[in-house]
Amino acid sequence: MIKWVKLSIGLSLLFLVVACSKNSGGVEPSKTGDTAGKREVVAITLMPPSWDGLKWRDDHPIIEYINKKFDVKLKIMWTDGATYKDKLNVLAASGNLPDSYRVEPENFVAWQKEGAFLDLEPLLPNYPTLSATYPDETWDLLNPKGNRYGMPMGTTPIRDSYQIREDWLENVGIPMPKEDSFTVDDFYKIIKAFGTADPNKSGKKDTLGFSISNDLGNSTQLKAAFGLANGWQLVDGKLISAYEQPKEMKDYLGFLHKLYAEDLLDKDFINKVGLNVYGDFQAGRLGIYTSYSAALRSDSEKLRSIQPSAKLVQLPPPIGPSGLRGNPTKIIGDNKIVINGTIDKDKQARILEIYDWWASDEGTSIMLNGFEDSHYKKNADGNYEVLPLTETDLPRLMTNFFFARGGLNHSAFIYTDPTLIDFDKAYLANNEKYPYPNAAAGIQALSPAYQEKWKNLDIKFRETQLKIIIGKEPMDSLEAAISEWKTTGGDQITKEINEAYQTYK
Amino acid sequence: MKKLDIRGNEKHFDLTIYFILIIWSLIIIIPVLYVFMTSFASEKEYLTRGFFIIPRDWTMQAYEYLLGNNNFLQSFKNAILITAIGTFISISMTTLMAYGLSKKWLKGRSLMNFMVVFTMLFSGGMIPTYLVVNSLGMIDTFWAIWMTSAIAPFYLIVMRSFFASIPYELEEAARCDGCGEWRMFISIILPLAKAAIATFLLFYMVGYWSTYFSAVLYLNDPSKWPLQVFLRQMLIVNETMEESSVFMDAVVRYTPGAKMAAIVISTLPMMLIYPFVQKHFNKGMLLGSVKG
Amino acid sequence: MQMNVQPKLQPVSKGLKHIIRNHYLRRTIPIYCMILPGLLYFIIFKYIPMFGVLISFQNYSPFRGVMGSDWVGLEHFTRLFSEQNFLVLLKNTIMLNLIDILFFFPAPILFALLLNEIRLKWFKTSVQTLVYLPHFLSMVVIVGITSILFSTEFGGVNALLEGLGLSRIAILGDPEAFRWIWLFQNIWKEVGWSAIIFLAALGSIDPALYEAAVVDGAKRWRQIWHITLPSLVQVILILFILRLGSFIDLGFEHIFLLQNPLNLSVSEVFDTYIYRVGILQGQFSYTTAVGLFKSIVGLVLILSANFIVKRSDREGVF
Repeated sequence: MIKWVKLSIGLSLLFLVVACSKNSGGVEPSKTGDTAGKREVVAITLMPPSWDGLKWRDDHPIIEYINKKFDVKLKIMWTDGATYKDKLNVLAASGNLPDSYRVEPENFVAWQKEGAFLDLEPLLPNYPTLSATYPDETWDLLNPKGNRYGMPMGTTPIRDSYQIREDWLENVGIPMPKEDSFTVDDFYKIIKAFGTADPNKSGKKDTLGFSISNDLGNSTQLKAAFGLANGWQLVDGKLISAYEQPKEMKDYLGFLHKLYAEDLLDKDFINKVGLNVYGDFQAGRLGIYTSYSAALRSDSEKLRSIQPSAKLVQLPPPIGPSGLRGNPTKIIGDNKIVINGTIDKDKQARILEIYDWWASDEGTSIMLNGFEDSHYKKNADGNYEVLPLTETDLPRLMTNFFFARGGLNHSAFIYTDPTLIDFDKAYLANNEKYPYPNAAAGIQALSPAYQEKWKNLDIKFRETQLKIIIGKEPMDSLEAAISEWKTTGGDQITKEINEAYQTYK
Repeated sequence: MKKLDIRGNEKHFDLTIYFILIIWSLIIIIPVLYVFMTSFASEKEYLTRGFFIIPRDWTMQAYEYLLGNNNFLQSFKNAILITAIGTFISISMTTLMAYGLSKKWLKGRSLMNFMVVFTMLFSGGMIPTYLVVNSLGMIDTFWAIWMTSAIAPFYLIVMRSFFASIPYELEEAARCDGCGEWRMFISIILPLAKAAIATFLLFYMVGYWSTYFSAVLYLNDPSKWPLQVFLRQMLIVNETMEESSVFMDAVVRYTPGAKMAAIVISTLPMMLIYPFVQKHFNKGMLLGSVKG
Repeated sequence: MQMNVQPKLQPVSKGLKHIIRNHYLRRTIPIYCMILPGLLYFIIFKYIPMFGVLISFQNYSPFRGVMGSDWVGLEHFTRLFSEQNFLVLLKNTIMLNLIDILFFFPAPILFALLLNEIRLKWFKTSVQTLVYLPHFLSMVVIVGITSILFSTEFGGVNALLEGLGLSRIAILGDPEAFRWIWLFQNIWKEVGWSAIIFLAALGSIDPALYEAAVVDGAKRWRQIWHITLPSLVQVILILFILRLGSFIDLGFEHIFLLQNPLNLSVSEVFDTYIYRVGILQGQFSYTTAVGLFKSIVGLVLILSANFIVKRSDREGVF
């Protein structure tokens, strides 16, 4: 029986001993020393959020290439995307933050003050490719004057637009709308036909006229058309939120209410998030959806497997009563890639060298396409062909998850058919004709009241909006909702955002 | 029905119970079947048909894809390792502690009992626990998972209550035979506790099998992540993902079939193990004092 | 009857040898040894991190740690209690918990009692296995299946209703239905799982008790009432007390998945509310303060329940 005592104590001690001896937490201390002389190999850890369980193997050719090229030992810490923030916080608390990682606006603003990040401003002149890849205002976003604490991580600001089923338009006998004269009334007519005139020729009522998600997704173009701000707009040098535009809000909600009342809007939209609406679109139940160029191709393919005649085309945003129109526009560069401010200078320089290369043509190509003859090859006719190794190596992964140079088309691979790349270009050019920017984009994170209250105020306000759409409350209830929004925090947010605007702009 | 035993035969009573249970089983089985069958259906069918039980065109694609996916297989192995060792650690520590705390004459017993219950109510939270785990050097090892969830207070308390209900006379008799505490525990108490141990073995096993958050928190190396991490990454397309300006099409998208197949495969081991455990706990564990 | 027999303890005699040979110690030391690994676990992994509750009185910054962060006193608690919809949060939390305790808590007991009446062994084990399965489906999947089944325009249930000549129902977006959908999904998922512990307890009933009852002419439901149910009382009590401890705590993920702007007035609870202020913005201090508030409510409830149970001469949880 003594054996058992020993065993149980021994076991529990063993746990601790074994665990202690295997210390693997955190970043290896880098070997400093003679930085001026020959280059010593430094260990560098990058931490991208990873989605869908994707990662590179440890001996990935790109990692080996970078190791050799920059005399580093690169470690990529693939971190679960959904819990990335939690991980960042525990790493910060335990002093184990990696050498370079991604932060979202709130943490970027809060952690600047803690000295967590390297200030790139004085160093950038040494890295011309990197500093030229984003415009100055993108670099400066969310930074105090004279400092640049992180690299912008960006994509295309106006990526999305409506896509419409051209085959449905043909079936209901409506010509493809002309870009210059496509109004919200025309939009309404199309919706009505899609909802009632059997656009898929199934003989059943199995289509939706239109659909939005319960956060009013898929209707940004309508907000733009009716003159509602995309969050905030600038009026006489002052930032005003969309919540203080009762007239425009009423027009916008009135349009959606009409759709709902006439049974043209999905009856279940209150229960649907963006992905559910997308699912209806992919299943051929919905004929109008906001998406991007590459998705138009993949969704067309899916739709054709359901209905061979399916054809998707880009649809310009409808024009509102006062001539306004716009496509969903996002701010770019408020997500940042930062370099740890507490690691030694040599290491920081090495990381910047890597990013400088990454932003170059060569770097971008490798980080997107991988290497010639292993991930793709050049055929006799001069065209490139993708090789099977791409499927498992996924050279594009770090570009998608972590860092890319400005304005990069993430789906323009070297082996992509040039006509498709031209199509993407044309699609984007069409989108960019109708920007719909948020005047306070990027500086919202600077208002503490915004951080604390915006999301809860927003969802509370949306309750009234949705009730108006489904006719559960009269349009007049909007006034009460607006004044409630203002008194319970909206005014304070407006004040703080305007203050931030004055100091940062 | 000759087993309709000692308790008297009441036809209507029986029929009602069978009826209720059959209805409930149907309510359970229909959605479960849907998940199972979707894993054999094509994406097109999933998108267009809404709810269905029998797929029109069967395909094993989802399973072929998953079983050929190294990440999936690796995470499956990790899950088995985490579950097997974790369950062993947990059940040993819980059984021992529960037995110890069941001794009413033990000094400090009620303090320790209160200490246990108190941890069900108050916890230090994610960061402080991480700091402790970190300072013990357990980051990136499975020990972080095992040690932070070694004992579930709830199971400990129920088990303690079970040990407390073992008649004292039994112990006294053993003691007269000159048994020490350890011998008595092993040769008298443990055999009696088979059903209870089987029950909590199952609970711990399922608990470790569904480890997700502590895995992504404490394990930096994705090749150590267990199955549930893989599963969640497949199932939950987080809203932050849409916001994160990732070009979604540039990333592999799992088909609905693959998602459902992953659910089926990940549930299978827990389902296969159930009948073995069930056999034991259906024999009963004494709980509380049976009056009379 | 309760087993309250106290072992007779010998008086502690003087001298080391005597002490070691002492009957009490000879029994105590092994027992303490059994407890020790578990106790260490609780101290190291549960009690040491509890210094973390201090951050609810601070503006915690992960860089400065608990020692370096600024102290703000009760600021976060004042903020919580003065949240404009504090009362709504409290009301919803209490309502959902009451529904849960009233309907969800007894469901597995009822299920176990029904299953216990089944003598066909294959039937019993198959039902038992089947009902255990949904425990492994994540809530995302269950909520997804529910919306496929109950979709107003394309759902299977509505197609069925229409086929039967009934009108379609639109329960998914209906705020009135939220609580019941939540409850039903919970029961559907967990009833088989939660019943395991009761089934295990039921297996140990001495068949002689039933025999005696039959001789007395007791019908089956009377047997359930007088024999089966009483044998479950202890485990029900423990589970109930512990359930009270987490009274103000509700699973976040499930409610969050079912929540939409329209049912906020019934679905908004502490966890979903602070999700929008707290975790997204990394405001650990506020989240911890809310957690502490929930813990204290739980502590009060658990202490009272335990006190009442112990006064009625039964074994409590501590």
